[in-house]
Amino acid sequence: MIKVRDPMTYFMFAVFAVMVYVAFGYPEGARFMPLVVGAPALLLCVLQMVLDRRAAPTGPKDDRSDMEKAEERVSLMTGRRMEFDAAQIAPGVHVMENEASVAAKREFIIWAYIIAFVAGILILGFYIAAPLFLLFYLRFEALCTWTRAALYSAIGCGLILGGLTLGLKLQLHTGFLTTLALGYL
Amino acid sequence: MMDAMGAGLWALIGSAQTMGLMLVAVFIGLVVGATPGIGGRLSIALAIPFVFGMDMTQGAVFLLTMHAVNGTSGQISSIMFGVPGDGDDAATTIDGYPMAKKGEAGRALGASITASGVGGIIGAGVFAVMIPVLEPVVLAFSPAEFFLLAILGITFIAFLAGKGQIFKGIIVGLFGMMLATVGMDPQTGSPRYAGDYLFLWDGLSVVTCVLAVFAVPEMIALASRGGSISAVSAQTASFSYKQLFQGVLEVPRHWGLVLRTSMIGALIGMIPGLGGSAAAWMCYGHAVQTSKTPERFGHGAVEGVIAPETASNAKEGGSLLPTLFFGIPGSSGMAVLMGAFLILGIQPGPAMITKHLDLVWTLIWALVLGNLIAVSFLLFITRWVALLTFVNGAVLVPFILVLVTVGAYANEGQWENLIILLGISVIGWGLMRWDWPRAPFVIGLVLGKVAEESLHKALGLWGMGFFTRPLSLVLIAMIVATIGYAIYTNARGKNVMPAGAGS
Repeated sequence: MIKVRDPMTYFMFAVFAVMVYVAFGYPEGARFMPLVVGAPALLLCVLQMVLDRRAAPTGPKDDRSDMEKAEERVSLMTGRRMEFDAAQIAPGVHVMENEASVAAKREFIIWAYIIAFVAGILILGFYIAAPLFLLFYLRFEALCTWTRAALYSAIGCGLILGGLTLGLKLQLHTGFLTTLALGYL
Repeated sequence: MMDAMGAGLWALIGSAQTMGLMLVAVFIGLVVGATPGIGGRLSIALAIPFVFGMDMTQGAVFLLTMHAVNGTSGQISSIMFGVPGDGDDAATTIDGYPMAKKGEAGRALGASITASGVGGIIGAGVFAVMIPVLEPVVLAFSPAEFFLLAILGITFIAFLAGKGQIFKGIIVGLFGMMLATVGMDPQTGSPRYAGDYLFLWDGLSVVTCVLAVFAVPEMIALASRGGSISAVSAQTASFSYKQLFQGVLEVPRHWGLVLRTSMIGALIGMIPGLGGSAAAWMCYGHAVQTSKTPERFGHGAVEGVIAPETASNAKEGGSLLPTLFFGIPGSSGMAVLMGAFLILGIQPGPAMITKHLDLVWTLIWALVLGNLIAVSFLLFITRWVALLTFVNGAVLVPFILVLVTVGAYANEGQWENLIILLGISVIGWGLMRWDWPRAPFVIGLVLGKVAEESLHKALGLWGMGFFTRPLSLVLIAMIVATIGYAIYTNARGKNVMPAGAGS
């Protein structure tokens, strides 16, 4: 079974193939640019697929720190062996970084929040969906207390939504359900 | 020329509103620069929806100033805590942090902030000097060359995206160009890829696409990866103002180095795609090579802080030149900025010299004044700005996502853009996840319509013979040479540029 090393190449190929196919249905002048762009793009996608398959499955892993890589880079540039002191960050400073597996799991959670937020905007509107999104995200993802999450949410919505609506006179989407409900009232 | 120079300055300082906007931009730029997780590119993308509908000059001054002063506050965490904010700041860490360890954090900060400001001003000066030199070249360009320049711009950015990335970069650029064809065809008036959806007949919203490709994936990465400074001891963050002003004096003391690295930075900025990271590293190397005591570098040499900072800020002036006159962004940040300029109605190309030279000068003055204000401001508030580096990224994410959705909706007032935002965000996330460069997408998208118009005009004027025009041949040779060199270096296993230089 062929293991797909880089699914984006296949995705791009599929997108260009569909767009080029659809372009053939347009009048001559209209299909010109999509074909000028799409045809070479398809060729490049095929070339990239070949490169992906020819690429070494796993290259030697570079375990050097960023500072060691910087030493090598500047040494090559100046022609003299460089050694830098800044090998570690300041004592007393802690940088929080998640592991790759934890990060991947969190990505799915964040996507779920984003999709729910956009759906919330469409159904309930910005004025209801945004405070709810901020409140739940801050409470469960940023691990703020309920009080702090509510406070940050109120301040954020006041500044972003209030500021834009009153300051820049922007009209934000009020939501299909909310508009319907307000119509009945 | 002198008239335009004066008119440009007056357009800036003669309007209280424009000056007010510039001050706001300086403040936002400094705050954003010091805050972890929000780069200059992202902040421009977030600001685009809110300058939509603004006067062309005011909008451009606001965005450019914000972008230009961004790096000035970015080095604070590199020097004080040894945690570089982005690629530009990594070179500053090498000597900045050892200085802080020796109890000279204030001196390093004073030198780096001043060097950054001086670099920005000299970069703007280099840009100004180049205008009369490039004027005849820009005016010689016809629609044929502008079509080829769009392709060259994508090729350059793709080339500099890193080892083995050139085809990926070009594919992404062409994908941007393909999406630019969505909507009503200007030649036949028939809708393309729009079906019966009327909101697509005007084409995809550039603002929505830029936010989707840059902002949403960056926020997902920030939220999932973490990486913000979560705690710091009070002792680590302390420094004296006396030291800070000693650092300021280091810049005139090393005026020769400042001048040279600023010039190098500005010139590197003019080469599309190289960006601040390359400028900073090259100038760091230059400082080591020209020093009489190179053994001090890496252990707290103040020249090692000055050189990368002047270079990375001077490149902003340089990279404005290909962006404004040729429509080829000098860096990924400039690509987003160019997208914003197009939205404001600023069309890069010969018109910038024939019609909008005063606007060009206003932007040069904005770079000069913005840097002056930023440096004076930052020297006094560094201690408080430094506190921003402890902001937890996870807390910022939802607020930025709210801004992103508001921005995507507000620029056209259509809810359908939220669906587009979601769809293209998935593609943007895919590009980031599988290490594909994203900057060429913006260039392709913003230049797509211009390229199509230019291609039709060129074909109408010269037929297929437009490829044989001398300037066209030069550009074609440059495109072929760029791709050929990338293939050659890839086959030899050499890395063309540090990964991510053009991403």
